[in-house]
Amino acid sequence: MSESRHVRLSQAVDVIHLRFGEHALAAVDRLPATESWACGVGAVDRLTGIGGLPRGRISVLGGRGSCGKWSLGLAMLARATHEFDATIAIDPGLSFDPWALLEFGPDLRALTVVRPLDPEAAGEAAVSLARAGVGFLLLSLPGRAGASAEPWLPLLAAAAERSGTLVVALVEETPRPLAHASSLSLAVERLTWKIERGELVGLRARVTCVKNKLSLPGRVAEIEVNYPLGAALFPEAGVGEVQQSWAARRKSAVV
Amino acid sequence: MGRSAQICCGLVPHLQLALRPDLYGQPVVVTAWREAVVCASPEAEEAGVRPGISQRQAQQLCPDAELLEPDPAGAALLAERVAAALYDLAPVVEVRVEGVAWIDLEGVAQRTLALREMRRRLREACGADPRLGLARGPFAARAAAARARPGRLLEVSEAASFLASLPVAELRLEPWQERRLELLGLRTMAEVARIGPRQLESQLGREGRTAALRARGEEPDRLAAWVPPRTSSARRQFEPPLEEREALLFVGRALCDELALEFGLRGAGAKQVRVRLDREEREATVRHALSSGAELFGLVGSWLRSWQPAEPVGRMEVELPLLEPAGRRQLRLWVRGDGSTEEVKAALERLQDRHGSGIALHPEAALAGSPIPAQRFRWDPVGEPAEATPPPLRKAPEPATTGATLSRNLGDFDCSPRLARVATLNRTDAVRHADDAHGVKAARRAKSS
Repeated sequence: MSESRHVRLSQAVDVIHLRFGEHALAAVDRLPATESWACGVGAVDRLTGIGGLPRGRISVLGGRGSCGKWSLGLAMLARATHEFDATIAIDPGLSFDPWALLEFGPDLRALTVVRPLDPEAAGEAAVSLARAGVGFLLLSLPGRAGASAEPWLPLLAAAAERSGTLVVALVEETPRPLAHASSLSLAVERLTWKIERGELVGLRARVTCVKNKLSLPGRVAEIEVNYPLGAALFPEAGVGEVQQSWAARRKSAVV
Repeated sequence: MGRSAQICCGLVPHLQLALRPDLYGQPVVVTAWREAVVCASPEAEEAGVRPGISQRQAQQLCPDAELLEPDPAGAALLAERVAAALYDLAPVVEVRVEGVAWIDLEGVAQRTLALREMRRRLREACGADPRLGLARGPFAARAAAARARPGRLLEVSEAASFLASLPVAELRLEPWQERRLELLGLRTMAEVARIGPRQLESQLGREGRTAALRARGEEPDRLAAWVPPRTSSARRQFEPPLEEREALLFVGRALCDELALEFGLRGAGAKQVRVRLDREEREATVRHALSSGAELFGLVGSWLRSWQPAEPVGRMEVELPLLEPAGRRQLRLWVRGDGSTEEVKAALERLQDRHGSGIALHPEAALAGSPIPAQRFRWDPVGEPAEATPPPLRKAPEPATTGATLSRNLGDFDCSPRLARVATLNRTDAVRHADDAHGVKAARRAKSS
C-alpha cells in the first residue's frame, strides 16, 4: 500500500474513532473476547455454548404467553441483583410485579424499575442506561413497544457493547429489528402443563437456541417451571438449577 | 530529596510552538505579518532568530524557517489545560505561555510520584519531554530545569552555590539593565550576589533589588497560583448553517468531549448545562455533577435529538455555567463495577428530569403478605429520600393464612371463635351490601328504561 493511501486510511480511521469511539473500528487481533455470565440456569447456560449469556450483547427470550419466559427472566434478574451493582428492569407494559420475583430471593436494593410512558421513552431509557454502564438490563417489550423499537435498537446494541451491559429482552414475538440486533435468541415453548392432584403446579417448556452469533445455534433443552402455588413438587433430573432452587423455596412459598 | 527543595519547574517548548507538535525538529518562527517574532524553535534560534526581532530579520537569518501566525487564544487554552492537569498534583500551580510550569510540592505526600506524573502530563500536553528542575524557589528551579536533559530532573540543594557561576542573563532583566550590569563589571550571579540589594536597587530600580536577592538564592518570587475557572464553554460557528440533525449531534459530541477533557483533567463536574442554538437555548441543573464526555453528551444529545430549531443553525454553544468538584475515584477502592454507578445514577436522573420522577422507581417490600398487590411494595422514586414506613397496626399474618384464602376460608382455619364469628358477620354484611347495591342499580336501570 502506498504511503498516501496509508495516510488517507489512517485519517479515515481517526475520523471514525472520533465520531463513534474506539470500539467502532478495531483490528481483528485487538477485538476482546466476549465474556459470558452464568445466569444460574444450567440448561440455559449450556445452550448458549459459551457458558452463559453474553455480556455486552442483546439476548432475547421469546415465546407465546404462559410459556415460562417471564419466570426464566425473573430467575436471571434475581441472580443479577446479587452479582451486579445496578440492575434495571424496563417495564413499559407495567406488568412487572416484584412479588413474583421474591420467590428467587433477589436483593431488592440493587433493583430499579423503569416504567416509561411510551415506547419511545422505553428506548431512550434503555439506550441511556446501557450507555451509562448498567450491569444487567431486563427489557420487557410488549407487542406495541417491540414493533416500534427499530430506531433505537442499533443504538442499544452499540451502547451495550461499549459498556458491557448485559441486555435480556422478553418478547412474545421477536420483531425483525430485535432479531437482527440480538446476539442470542432463545425460543421458549410450553410443552405441557403440570397438574398434580387436580391443581396446576407448573409447566414443562422447551428452550431452543434459534440464533447464536457466538457459538452454534440449534441446541435444545427442556426445563420445568414450578409455580409457587400448589403442593410440593419433585423436580426431575435435567431440569436445571431453576427447578432445584424453586423446589427448595417452595416450603416457604407465599400463597 | 532535601526538605527545602519544594518548587519544581518544568520547561517545555513555547506553547505557541506546542500547538503544532508535528513541526518539532524543524526551524519554526511564530510571528505576525510585519511584526516582532513571538517565539522560535531551537533550530531557528541556532540560526540567530530571537524573540523581539522583526519578521524580515528572522527570514533573513533563517530562510528555511516555517512562519506561523500567532494563536494567543490557542496558547492560552493550552496553558489552561496544562495548569488543570498539574492542579491535580499540587494545589499551587503556575503556567506561562513561554513554556514554563511550576508546582509547589509543599505538603505533597509522595513527591517522587508527583514529579513523575508531572513529567508524564507535560509530555502528553505538549508532545515533548520536559526538562525538570527542583529547588527551594521558582527562580533556581527554572535555572536548574534549563540545565537538565529532556525528560530528566536536576535537583538543586544549595541554590547560592549553584547559581554562582551562571551568567547575569539568567536574571532576565531589561536590556538596559543588563548593559548597566555590564558597565559595572558584573557578569556572573556570584558578582551580583556580592552587591547588596540596596546598592543594586539604586542602580536598576526595584528590579535590581529582586535581582540581587535572586542571585543570592533567597528567592523573593512567589508563584501566582492558578485558580480553576468556575465556568466553561465551547462553541462552533457554521458557515453555511447546519440543517442536518446528524451533523448537529456530531458537533455536539465533539464539544462535549472537548469540555470533558478540560474539566475532567482538574476533577471538576458540570452541575448546570446550557445549550444554545443561535437564539434558542435549553438549560438544566443536574443533581450529581456530570464528569465525563459520555455523561455530558447523554444530556446534550437527548436535547439535540428532540430539538426542532426554527431555522438552520449557524452557531452552537455548550456552556457549563456552574462547575463543582466531581466525585473522584480511587482505584481498587470500589468493587463490583462501581465505577459506573455514578453514571447510572446520572442517567436515571436525566430520565426523571425529562419524564418525571415516577419513571424510575425502587421497590421496597412493605406488606409482602398482603392480598392487595398495591400494598405489598412501596415504590420510591430513585434519588428521593424514602418515606419512613409507618409501624403496622398489627403484625402481618403468616403467608399460609394470607391472601384470598383468609377471607374465603377463615372459618375453616384453627383460629379463635371470636375472630371466626366476626369474619362470618362481616361476610354476611358484605353479601347484604352487595344485594342492596344490586337492588339500587336494578331500580335505576328500570327507571331509566
